[in-house]
Amino acid sequence: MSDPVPGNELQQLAELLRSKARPEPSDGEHRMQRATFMARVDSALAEPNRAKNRLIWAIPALMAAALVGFVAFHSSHRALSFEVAGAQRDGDYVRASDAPAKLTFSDQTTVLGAPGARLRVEALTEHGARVLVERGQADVHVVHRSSTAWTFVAGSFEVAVTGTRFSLDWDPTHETLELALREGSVEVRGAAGTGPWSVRAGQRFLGDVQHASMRVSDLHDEGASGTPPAVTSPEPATIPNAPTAPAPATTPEPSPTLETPHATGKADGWEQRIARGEFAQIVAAAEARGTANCLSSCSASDLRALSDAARYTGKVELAQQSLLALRKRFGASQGRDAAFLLGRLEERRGAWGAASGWYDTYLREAPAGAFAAEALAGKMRTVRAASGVAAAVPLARAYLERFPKGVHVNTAREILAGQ
Amino acid sequence: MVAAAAGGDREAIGAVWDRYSPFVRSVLRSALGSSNVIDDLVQEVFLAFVRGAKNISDGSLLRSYLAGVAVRLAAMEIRRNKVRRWVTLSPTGELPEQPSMPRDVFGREALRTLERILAKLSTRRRMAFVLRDVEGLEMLDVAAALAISESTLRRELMRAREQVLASASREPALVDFLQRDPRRES
Repeated sequence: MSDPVPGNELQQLAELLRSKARPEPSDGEHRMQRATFMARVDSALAEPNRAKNRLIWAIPALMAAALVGFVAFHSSHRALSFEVAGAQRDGDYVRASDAPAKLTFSDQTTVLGAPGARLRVEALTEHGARVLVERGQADVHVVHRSSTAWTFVAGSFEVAVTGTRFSLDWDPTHETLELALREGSVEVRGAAGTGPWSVRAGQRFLGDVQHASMRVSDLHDEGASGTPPAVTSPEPATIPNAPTAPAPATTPEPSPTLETPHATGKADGWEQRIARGEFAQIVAAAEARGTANCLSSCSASDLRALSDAARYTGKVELAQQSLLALRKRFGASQGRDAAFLLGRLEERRGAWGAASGWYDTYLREAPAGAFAAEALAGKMRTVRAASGVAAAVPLARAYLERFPKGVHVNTAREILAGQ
Repeated sequence: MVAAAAGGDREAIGAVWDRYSPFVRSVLRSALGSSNVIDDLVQEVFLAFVRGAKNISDGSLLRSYLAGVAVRLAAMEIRRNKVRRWVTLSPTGELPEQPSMPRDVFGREALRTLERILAKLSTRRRMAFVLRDVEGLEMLDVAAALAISESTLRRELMRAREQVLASASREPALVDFLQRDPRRES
């Protein structure tokens, strides 16, 4: 099937449109969107029954939603409203420039955006609102009433609130979320299919999308768990009066109030439990079985799940052991990706040489593998860190040649510009 | 890769995302302009792929499959927001400035004008033009994406091109733009 080649004028007009339609997300945005998507995939794959139920209920739910929408449309005066002090309101957006911006909602809930913060009130209902913290810190006081329902979104994290005081700090560049609870409790849903995590008064939630790490710790006892902090954000100046912590620092556990297949008594494999975020439980199960025993006898899928769970809970050594066992026992067919993950672990520890070696191994074993771009970028970074910019130049060139639209092109260009 | 994704292989699904998300984003942007919902719709397109991957018998059809899903979602979004016109989706109805927009005043004005012209086309005709002439998809793929016959697509494209050229010839900004284009001058 063919059609005539468009004339020169049409080609020029098409090119004009392409010039507008091509802006690509930044590296951080791309990673965040990918992580969000993969979290949704995990959720969809792990809970097919729930998906079926969704389908079964889709039509009545849509009808109900339509009815709710109709009612909401005709009674919009009942939805909350808000006023802004200290900043200009631009549609849904509020940007705090040099001074804090205070949003006061008609139910007396307040959101104080710190200087530099960018907020967006995406939706208002009679019970609450959905507020996006696109950048920076916000101090929130949600006034509790019956059926209060507020949601705060920061990157791929969602914080469900019924009534509480907390401060929330989202760094979109490093994709880190820090949430400090002063009153009440919230539930946080995170990237990579994790959560919900219950965070109580006196606790701090630290989420790091890039390192797939989530932790809850005591506000006054940072680092007491013995694992390295997931993020390096400074102590927010806005939470000096945090109450004494009611609970010790702990790895976050999924909320027991939400029903999961596991909660209903159905036995699942570790891969399914990973999808539900039961990282600590998987590590505990492996330890109960005997770590050495598991490393020598667990299936490939369980070893992969154990390595993921260990990484997410900061147990780097166990993660390494699991990945090495995967390579040793199951060979290249199962161990190729393990080489890449081992490189990531070493890079995160600052062991540039070891990391570079693992990235090399991956690129040798899977030159066109799913992580080839990431592995080459990792090698580029680690060589730069270990041997300087000049040594990384050939790698940067190779990256740009192989992956001209890759998410690390800016890093490669920086290296070439700095040689 | 498609077969692996259909079997729930997480890495294959991620690889599909990595390879095709720029294309899907571009299709949605072409259809919806700089809408705030594009990120959400990109996710929806790939979630639809995850759910429907088992029905894709030939991996070479993946691009047109994704284009088709993107077109349908874009059409739904357009219907949902009839008060908002194609591209001019900011709260004020003005086309937001973007870093990628032509920097020169003439280029910006030409782009706005062209978008207004495209906004007057039907959704199907506009998407036929966008997928074929802007995105460069094969005719067969465009027809599959739009769920229309090849002859219907040919008619839609012919009329879209006629309408665009006829309207453009009446718009001083586009006439100037075409006259200033270096390729025309050479």
